[in-house]
Amino acid sequence: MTKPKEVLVEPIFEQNPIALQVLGICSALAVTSKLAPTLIMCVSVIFVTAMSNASVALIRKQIPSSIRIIVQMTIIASLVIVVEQVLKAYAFDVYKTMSVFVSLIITNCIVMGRAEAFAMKNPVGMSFLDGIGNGLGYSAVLLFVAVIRESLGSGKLLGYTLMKPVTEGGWYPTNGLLLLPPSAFFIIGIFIWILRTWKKNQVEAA
Amino acid sequence: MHKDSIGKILFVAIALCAVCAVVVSIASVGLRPYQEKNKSLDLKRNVLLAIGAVKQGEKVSGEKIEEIFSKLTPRLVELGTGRYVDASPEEIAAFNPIEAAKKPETSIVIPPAKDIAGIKRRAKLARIYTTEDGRLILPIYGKGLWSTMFAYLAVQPDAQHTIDGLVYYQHGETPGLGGEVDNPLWRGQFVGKKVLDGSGKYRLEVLKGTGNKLDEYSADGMSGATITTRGVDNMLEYWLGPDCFGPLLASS
Repeated sequence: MTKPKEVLVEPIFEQNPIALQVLGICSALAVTSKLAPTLIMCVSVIFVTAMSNASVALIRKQIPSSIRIIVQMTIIASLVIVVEQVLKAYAFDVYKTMSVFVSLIITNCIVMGRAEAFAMKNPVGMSFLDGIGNGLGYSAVLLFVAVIRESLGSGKLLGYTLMKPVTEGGWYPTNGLLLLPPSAFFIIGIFIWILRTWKKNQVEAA
Repeated sequence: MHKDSIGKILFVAIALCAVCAVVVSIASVGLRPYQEKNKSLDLKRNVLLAIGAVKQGEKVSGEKIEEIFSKLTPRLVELGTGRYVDASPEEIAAFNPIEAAKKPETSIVIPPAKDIAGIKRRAKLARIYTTEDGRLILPIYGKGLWSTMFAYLAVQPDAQHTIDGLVYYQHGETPGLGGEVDNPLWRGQFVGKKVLDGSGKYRLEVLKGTGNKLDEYSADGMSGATITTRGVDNMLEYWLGPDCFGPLLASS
């Protein structure tokens, strides 16, 4: 029997959904050019994975297996709409910069993957923790990428100037590549590299 | 009942939909007042952005926006004649340009030959804003590649109507290409351009391609977004032309 702590902490480095399972890459590219929307995205994904896992686990014994995927989808989609409505009401500016990517949490493979792989077989509490854990694992990578992209790409972090860019009369020539989505691929690659150097058991057999 | 029986499947599906529908409805209805407020603030912010009273990306509180915005005078103007319509502040505030453009009694069909902005019909009236020093803020819209693009154009009251700012606040163009219409650097080049030539004829244009010689009447188009650029060019020409705001510009 797995312990609650393992369920919560393992997905962060041991079983990271992005780094090990390579799920949820799309949004990791899209929202990470600035740290502020990334934070909102992380909180939203943690909320959605945790709540969808808990809801699916709650009714897992009632869900007919022939319609289980659509049942999970419905729950996830409803939760995402709720998140979207809340953002629209309380964080309108951020919502505007990332509107479509909030809705796209529905298609984030991590959410669905955890509902199907974990919540269908485990009790509510554990599933909830698993959701939080996987959300945190996703967030860890996103924050890593966003901090690098925003600080080196525009010389700023959360709007504070770290290194004054040349365009504003400073000394730091900004790295435009890091503001473009493909750069996230390189940074996620580096993240996976570091992680697998540290945790050798994650290296796949060649 | 067996877990995989038809009855059970239908029951689970319907019950789940009912629960989810309730949750989603509560969120949507309960939060609507806040969302409406955000939306109206956003609109006001865009108007202020057009006259440069607020800078792009600047953090401004809602109260501050309301305060600066309250100094502007909203007015209803008849398109094509440039006459201001007598209306109470309530009537002006209640004027909904999108609704007005749809209803047959408050709108006109634009003859296809003149419909360069690609909007088919337009309202007879428009709500514009004027500042204390006589600048005009005009709402304009027109087709881009995928979507109808909405903007505010602010012009000065001089003879040639120098542009103060152009702000696209709603569009569905391709991000990174046509979506650059809302890029502050791109729209910033419109500041200082002149709408009319010395004789009062419409002269402004947005040029496509590279290596164009730009003067005070022309702005550079967006690369990789020919159709969006053309849309911007056409909508400026339509709205500032004789059928819409032209007469108003001539008289102010």
